[in-house]
Amino acid sequence: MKTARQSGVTLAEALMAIVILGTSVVAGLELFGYQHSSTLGQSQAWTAQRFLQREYEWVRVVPYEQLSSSSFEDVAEDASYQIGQTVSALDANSLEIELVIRWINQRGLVQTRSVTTVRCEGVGL
Amino acid sequence: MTNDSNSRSRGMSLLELVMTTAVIGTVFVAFVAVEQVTVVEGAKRSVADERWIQGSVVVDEMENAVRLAERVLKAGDGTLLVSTRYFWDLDDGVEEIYYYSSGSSIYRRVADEVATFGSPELIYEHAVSFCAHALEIADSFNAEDYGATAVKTADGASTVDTANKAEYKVNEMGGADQDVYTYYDESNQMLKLEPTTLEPVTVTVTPDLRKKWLHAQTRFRPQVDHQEYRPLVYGSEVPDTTNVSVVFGADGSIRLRSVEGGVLTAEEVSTISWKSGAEYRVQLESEKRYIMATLLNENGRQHKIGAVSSGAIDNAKLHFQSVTHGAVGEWDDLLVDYPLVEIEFEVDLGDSQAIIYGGATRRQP
Repeated sequence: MKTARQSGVTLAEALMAIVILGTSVVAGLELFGYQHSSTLGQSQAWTAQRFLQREYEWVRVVPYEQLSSSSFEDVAEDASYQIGQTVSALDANSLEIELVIRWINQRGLVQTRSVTTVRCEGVGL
Repeated sequence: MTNDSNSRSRGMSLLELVMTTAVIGTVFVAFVAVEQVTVVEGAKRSVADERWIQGSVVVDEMENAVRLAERVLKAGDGTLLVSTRYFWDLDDGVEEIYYYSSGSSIYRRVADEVATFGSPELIYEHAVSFCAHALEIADSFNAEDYGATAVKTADGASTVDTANKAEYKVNEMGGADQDVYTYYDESNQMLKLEPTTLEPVTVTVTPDLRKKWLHAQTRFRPQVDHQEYRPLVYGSEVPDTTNVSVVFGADGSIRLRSVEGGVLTAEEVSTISWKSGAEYRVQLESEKRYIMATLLNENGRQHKIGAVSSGAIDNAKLHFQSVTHGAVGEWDDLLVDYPLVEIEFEVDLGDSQAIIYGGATRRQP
């Protein structure tokens, strides 16, 4: 009986080995999944940055008197992004405009990017 | 002996050795497979990222060309042509920068102070499509803008509309009523209105534009008192019944009116009256929710008529009309301006495709 136990690998040893090797494989797969998710997140951020920059171009040319705050609205080309703007008076002749874009990433978390600029009344574009 | 015996008995049998080798081998193969997939996918991602970044660089360049452009001469599917003095070099000469697609490639050609373009330069190889949306039509009704084929004849003969700015179609003067016509006055370079009925002159602009600050302006000179004119009408698909218009009324008033489904929904009355023969610049600006009207009289004084809700107006297509009710007048210098040049650049990333969105406004005066 004693001799039988001593020959070969025990069940516990085998399980432990399988767990260790399995963990390594799973870790490898997880790493791959993380890389994929990270890349998607980066693409989303790049796209968001593009939409935000385009909106900023708008803010530069819209007539001064038309500048006003607006709640989040879907981006026309891709409703998974929303852009909103906050306009506040710095003084009688200038406005501070903050543009914010938001979206939900692969992990279900809300992401945002923003840009702030100032427009002065009567100053050329 | 006992120790030696125990030591040997601790070792693996042939079967166990084979099984262990098989398991380790399987795990090793699995590892290699995962690594292979990771490497292959990583390489694909790398290619995709590189193509995206290169595409972004191209869009950045186009945006910069737009920002430094004096004029956007052409925009449309696979085309962007701008004239500029500062984008290509720092001298004062005017150059034209031409971006166009051919197959899956995007090229740039430059005409630097010469009439012809230089050799094409390949700037991107993995394009799926490229489109620039811009709007800047007919700032003046002259032969250069319209071309000889667009001259309207007195009998209302159909002609080909060839307004060539920004490749937007400009369709004038529809109308089954042949008693109404508009013609191009070569000597004065403007459109003459000599109607006998209420048939409108309509300019239709496509493709779709975002409903945000479209600017339209025209110069108008009413010739007869006590008639009604609508020199600028911003309408929907059914501009006769849904529109925002500036009306020079038969009572001498100037009003901004909003009509939805044939029902007057809002009206703002200017504090000034119009005079026959005087020249007015009529300007409509569409914001997201409102359309504002401004008037500049012949003395250059500006009068804000007011703002009305844009209501049910569909911005997918814009109709501009000049309607005269049994009178004569001159209608000139229609300017429809959309300040942003939008760029959609679809790139092939290998396994997938992505659209890079861009947009820039002209800043060079």
